[in-house]
Amino acid sequence: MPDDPTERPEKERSGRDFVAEAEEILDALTDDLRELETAFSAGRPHHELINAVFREVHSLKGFAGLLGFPQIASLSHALEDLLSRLRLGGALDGTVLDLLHDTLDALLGAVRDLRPGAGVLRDLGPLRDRLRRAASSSGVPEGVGLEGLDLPGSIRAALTEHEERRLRALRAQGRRLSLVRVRPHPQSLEKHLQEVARRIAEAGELISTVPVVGEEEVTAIAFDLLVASPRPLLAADLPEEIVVRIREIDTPRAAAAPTGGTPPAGAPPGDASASAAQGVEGFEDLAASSSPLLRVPVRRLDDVLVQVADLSIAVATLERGVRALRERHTDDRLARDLGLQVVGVLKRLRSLQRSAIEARLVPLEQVFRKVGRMVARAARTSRKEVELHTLGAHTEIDKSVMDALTPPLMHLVANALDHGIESPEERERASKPRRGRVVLSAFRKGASVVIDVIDDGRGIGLEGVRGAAEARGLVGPGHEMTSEEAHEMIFRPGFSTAAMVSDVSGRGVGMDVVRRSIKALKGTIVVRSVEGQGTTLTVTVPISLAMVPAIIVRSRGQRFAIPLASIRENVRLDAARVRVKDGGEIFERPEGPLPLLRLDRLLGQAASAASAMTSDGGRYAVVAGGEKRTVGIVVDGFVGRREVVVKPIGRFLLGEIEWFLTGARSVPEPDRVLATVMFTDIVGSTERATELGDAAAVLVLDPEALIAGGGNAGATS
Amino acid sequence: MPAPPPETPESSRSVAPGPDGALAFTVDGRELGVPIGPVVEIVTHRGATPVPHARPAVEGIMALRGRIITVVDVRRGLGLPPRRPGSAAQVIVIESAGDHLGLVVDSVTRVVGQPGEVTVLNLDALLKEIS
Repeated sequence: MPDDPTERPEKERSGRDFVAEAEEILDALTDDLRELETAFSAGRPHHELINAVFREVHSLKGFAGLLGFPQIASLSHALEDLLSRLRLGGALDGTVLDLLHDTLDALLGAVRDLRPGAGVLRDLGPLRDRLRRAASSSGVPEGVGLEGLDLPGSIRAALTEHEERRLRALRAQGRRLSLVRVRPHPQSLEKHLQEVARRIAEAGELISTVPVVGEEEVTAIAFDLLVASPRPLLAADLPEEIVVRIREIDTPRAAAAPTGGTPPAGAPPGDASASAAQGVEGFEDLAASSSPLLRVPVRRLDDVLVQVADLSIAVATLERGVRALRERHTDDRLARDLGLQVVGVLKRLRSLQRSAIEARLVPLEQVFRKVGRMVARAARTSRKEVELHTLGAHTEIDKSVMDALTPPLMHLVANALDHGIESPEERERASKPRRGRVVLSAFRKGASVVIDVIDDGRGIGLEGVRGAAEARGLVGPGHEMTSEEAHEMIFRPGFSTAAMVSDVSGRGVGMDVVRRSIKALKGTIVVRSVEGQGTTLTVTVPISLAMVPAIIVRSRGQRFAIPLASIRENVRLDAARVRVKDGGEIFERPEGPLPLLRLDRLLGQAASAASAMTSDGGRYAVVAGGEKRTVGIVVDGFVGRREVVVKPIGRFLLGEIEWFLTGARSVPEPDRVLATVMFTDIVGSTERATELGDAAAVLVLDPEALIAGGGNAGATS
Repeated sequence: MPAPPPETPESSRSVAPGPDGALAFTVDGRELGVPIGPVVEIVTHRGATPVPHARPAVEGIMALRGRIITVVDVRRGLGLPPRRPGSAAQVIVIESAGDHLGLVVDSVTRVVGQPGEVTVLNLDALLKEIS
């Protein structure tokens, strides 16, 4: 059926599958390539790493070929060729490493292009040609012949072309060659073979694993392992319970001379079967790659979460009803039992909600990897020497939070590289190690994840920031700037100092954009910097937007949520210490006067402005705001701390909020709209919806927007 | 007897019920309708969370099936007297370009198949009124 209408969706599906699969392989490839680079520059043995890279490229090729992506398959194939040269002992050097990196970048780009809506496919031809040239010029030491080797014909016939070349090369290097017969237990076949392979890797190199056919009783499974080692292989080198015998099949040749490029006489007998075996290798890889993981569209997990949240609201309503019933019939056993049942259901529901949230958590590893790739690339293209350390890459975070977090995090690390880390010469002059350090660390703190981006570069120069601020009229001439002020200043829109304008990136540095994206995640960013010693940026975001930690406050009987991250502290107001100044209220406290804004007035709830706050004591204030303008927002009381679900409010109410914030009904600017969305975000449900009563929907307030908007809307009117 | 209905958003001229008809409801003793196409569901009115600085017709927001719905009181939108406190009401949930709107009415009465049987609210005008 050539015109089968289902063919197209099928193809699209296989495209999606391929992209997901390929990205996973490329991620692993990125890690291994980085390790390979490290091992290479440290002069450590790296044969196993090349093998790992080779295997990954091989399965990428298999996938691309099977699912119909010839461009990617063909580039992977050329890369595989080059790698197989390296496996055979071809020289690895900086040029080859660069080529590997370039190819990886191109493959990443090509896979990205396959995503729906991406641009035109790039031409991978030129890179493929470079790989081919490199492969053909990479000098592979010619192996020696196999004469005099006590190798049974059946094993020799089973060797692949690569294995045979490896055998020749290792023999030429004077390695001891042994045949190890193992008989793993059929029930733990995989485990035993892995164990023996691991032990062999410690003593030498495993060239091939060949099943023994015909010699043993039918029930037993046995393998012959062809091993090369620098010293004779001993029984103690291997797990003895499964090893049947070790037989040396070659006496080392005294520094075997290369045979001068003479091809071995006659075609190796194993050639035909070997290449046939390679043909199906792709399928075997596919079968072997089945994992205990299941790939699920995020959308479906979203649905589960939404339904669970909805259910918890319904059950909370039920619980309230049952409680009322119990209060009315205190002696009724049925009512009491029902109450206990409902409490049990609530508890289980809460654990279900937690599971639904956890199902969406992914390790930060993926972002860290992307950052690592960027650092490696930047270090190669700039004159800087940088090493990246990552800590806590296993820390888990919600998939959507991670996706939203990736661009700002990349931006922060790019900034650290561009503006933080000095050139090697400059660092030497400052008696620092030539090589700069960037540390990316993550850890979980309650319902939040804290990510530090630390560099040991030049830090934020107070003078530079002050000068730039003065030039932009942000501060008066000769203004004494504190470091807190300077650190706050870098988050101003469009702010960049001459010292910060990058010669590499040329970006105007959007720290304001970074802060806004982090705030959109209900997170915070804090900067600490010591001039000359480095900068630490601390980003704190909730693990999941499905559970943003917040304080629930009460104002005029209505509840509001304020994200915990945006609150500095909560204070109890002492009426005696509140005084009126310039039409506003000030709370006198030991550490200095705290200007107050009343939430009911900010929100237009106040019936009359005449009701002086001083008349009713026992009020509380939420202290929020930046270093420059710290304000206490007066509320009637605290309901408590909750983890809340945040939902966008929808477009109908945006205009109102815009007016409230700016005092004008203008066409909303995209930037402002972003801020307004935050102000108006909604709590859909909470962990303990019961305690919030009927009002399942609660407004989430952004104190900074409130403070900024307070002047416009006339909180003191 | 009820005063004549205001010009907007109610309008008998501009919108006739589509082939799918209209959903008829009552407010303050008169029968009106909304096009049935965008109607998602009808739920019992259980109050809404007030939103500061919203337009008068906007009663607030409510959570329904994990979504946030902007709740508009049709009485307030039409300048009719408010409902008696404690009297029952229903919310007609409609979808507009991905966002949800809840129209608070006294009660939903019937589905109307024939155009012209009932005065149908102009939803576009209503949306303009609230945002």
